[in-house]
Amino acid sequence: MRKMTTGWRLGAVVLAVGLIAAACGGRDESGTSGGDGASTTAPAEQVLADPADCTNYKGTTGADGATIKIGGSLPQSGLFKVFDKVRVGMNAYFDFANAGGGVQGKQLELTSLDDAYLPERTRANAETLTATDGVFALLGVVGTENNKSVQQYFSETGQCVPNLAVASGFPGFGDPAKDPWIINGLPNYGLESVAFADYLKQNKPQAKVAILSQNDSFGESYVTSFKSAIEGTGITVAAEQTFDPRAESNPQGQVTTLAGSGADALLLGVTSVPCPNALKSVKDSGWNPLTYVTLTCSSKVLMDVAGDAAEGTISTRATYDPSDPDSASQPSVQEFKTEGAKYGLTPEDLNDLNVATGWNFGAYLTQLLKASPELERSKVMNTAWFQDGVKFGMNLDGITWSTNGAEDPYGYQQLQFVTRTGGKWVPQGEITDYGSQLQQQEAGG
Amino acid sequence: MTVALFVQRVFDGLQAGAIYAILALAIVVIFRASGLLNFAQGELAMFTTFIAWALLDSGLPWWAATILATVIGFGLGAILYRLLIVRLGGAAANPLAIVIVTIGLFLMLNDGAGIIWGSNPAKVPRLFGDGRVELLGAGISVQVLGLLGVLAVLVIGFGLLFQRTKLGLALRAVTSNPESAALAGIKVVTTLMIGWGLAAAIGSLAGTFTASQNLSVDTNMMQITLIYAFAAATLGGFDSPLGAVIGGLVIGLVSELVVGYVSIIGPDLRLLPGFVLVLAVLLVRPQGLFGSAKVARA
Repeated sequence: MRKMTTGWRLGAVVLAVGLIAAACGGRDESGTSGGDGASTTAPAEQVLADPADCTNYKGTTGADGATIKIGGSLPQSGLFKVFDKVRVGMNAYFDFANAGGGVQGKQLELTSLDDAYLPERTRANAETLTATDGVFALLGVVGTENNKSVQQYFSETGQCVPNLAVASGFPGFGDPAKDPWIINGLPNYGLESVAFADYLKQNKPQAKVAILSQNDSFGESYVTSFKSAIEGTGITVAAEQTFDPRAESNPQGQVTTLAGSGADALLLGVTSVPCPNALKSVKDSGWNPLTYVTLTCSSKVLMDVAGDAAEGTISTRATYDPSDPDSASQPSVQEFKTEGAKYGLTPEDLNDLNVATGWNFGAYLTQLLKASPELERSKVMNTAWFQDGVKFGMNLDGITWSTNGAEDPYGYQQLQFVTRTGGKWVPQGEITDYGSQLQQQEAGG
Repeated sequence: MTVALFVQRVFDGLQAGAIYAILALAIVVIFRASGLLNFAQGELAMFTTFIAWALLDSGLPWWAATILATVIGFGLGAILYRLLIVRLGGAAANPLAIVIVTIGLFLMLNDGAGIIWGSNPAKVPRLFGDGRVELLGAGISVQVLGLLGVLAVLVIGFGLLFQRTKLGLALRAVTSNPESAALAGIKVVTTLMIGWGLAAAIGSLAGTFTASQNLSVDTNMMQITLIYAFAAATLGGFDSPLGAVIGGLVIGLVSELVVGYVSIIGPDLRLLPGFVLVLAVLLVRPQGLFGSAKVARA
């Protein structure tokens, strides 16, 4: 890895100072529209990412050379290693985009470090990536707590570095009024909970729901939104159990307690290996609830581990699952399969939802950088907060990405229900917009 | 419904407890053979479990991989003893240094496995299949029953080994007085190699059963189990194989039942009940439930 020389650093600082001045002077400019049908209209009063708020602002670091340097941090080891496949997907997309000319004539370059899902290591990685590698932005950083520690580091050091398409649906990352430098890349976890509540209202209006969740903000996001979504309905929470995903990979005792509650539905606010484990325990105990598994648990790897125990569970999607033969004819899936194979994805990778997620993050970044009026950090963020009806990657036909500043900061609004049938996910019903329900909930609570 | 829930919890507890018991058995075997605590016992088990997983991955059936890994575990334990412990002068000469060496081994095996295999969500089959039986309304997986069966075989086997065989006698003689044992014609180093080998082999079973249960093999899989296993050995008495097993089962049961029925102790405090119990027992019987009290000459 090439280290920055002192002279280069100085140059970057001088350049950055100049750009801040330019950016501050030019705040009444409105954004121009970019590629892929994205329109970016950020009126002056709606500039959310403001360099003036950053004591240590460098607007173009990492994008002012021949390449655009992007950083990543995710578990390449440990229990959550399955998510390393996100990196594999991002890499492949970068190669694909670079072969097509890159962004504004510059090649994309990804440097990704291992954090083993440990937030303190993610923080150290963020430091290495920005201070040593000089990346322009972060992409697809996995984990809620991990991204919190990254933002903590940036805020302590007065840096404003875009943290884009984070692999977390934590609702707290969708608050540009508080922190405009981080944006979700997955559907808001709350959106999933609202969708599950809605599903129960339609199909099981008197459901008694058991909830198993991780005792972290990932788990809490599902629980809080779900409870608020069932207020005033016939649906009740029969029992709740939590576990620490770092200490326990098999919450069997908790499942036993939930099974004993007489609940007829189960919300699993769980991801990675504990998720298939919980499904196995449910099956062993002879309990047969209508079970919702999170989008992050619905990947092929984890579902294969669960095997039969996953049959009949439901989940949601916003993107095509490349392992699903029924979506093989979709142009975006075909592009992933042919181009992905060309850029090093193995047949196994081409069937992996986490690889697909990484590919989508790559596609998101590319369209965003193209849509941004220039390769400058605050301009990129302000573009990200105001995108309307963008299509990219393998998003389901009928699902578009729209953000509208602090009013509606979540790109994904719609979800499609799927049921695990015969070892694959089968779509059920229509793509539905749950965004407005979620917004009402957030406005109310 | 409530009876079913109780039965379910009892079997959850026995399942966890049986794994603590097996690892505690490994700890006790080494303690009896060399008067040492092997802090690397859990990591050795983890390491051999990765070997079992690698064998499974290369196409071997799981039962064969389990047996082969147990045999490899035996070899690994024996080699570690011969190459490390003997060179440090043996347990009697340098007990503290050796305990520190086992802590070093702990770190080495943990990092080593991480470098070689990383960590894998493993589609590890269950040794006794996915079947389940109904008992008083509760669903009990055949795997748990098999695990308890294996545990029973181990207890009886080790009871016979220590009490009825020349090897067992030699192991006991070597612990009791290495010098006299050597004078009586016992090959001390060979005997202890076998002791360490046996412990690693048993530990390997604890690891493969944990993997089957957790559906994953990862480098930290045995760490909490090791803590429980130490607690089990402490509860049962460090020199009693039967005590270790009963200690493991009791701690598994108490943890599960207290967490399940005492609402103020939620799942987050799962470690608490077992350790409170250990403390209470030690206050009354410092040598543990089945341990032999130290007799000191006045």
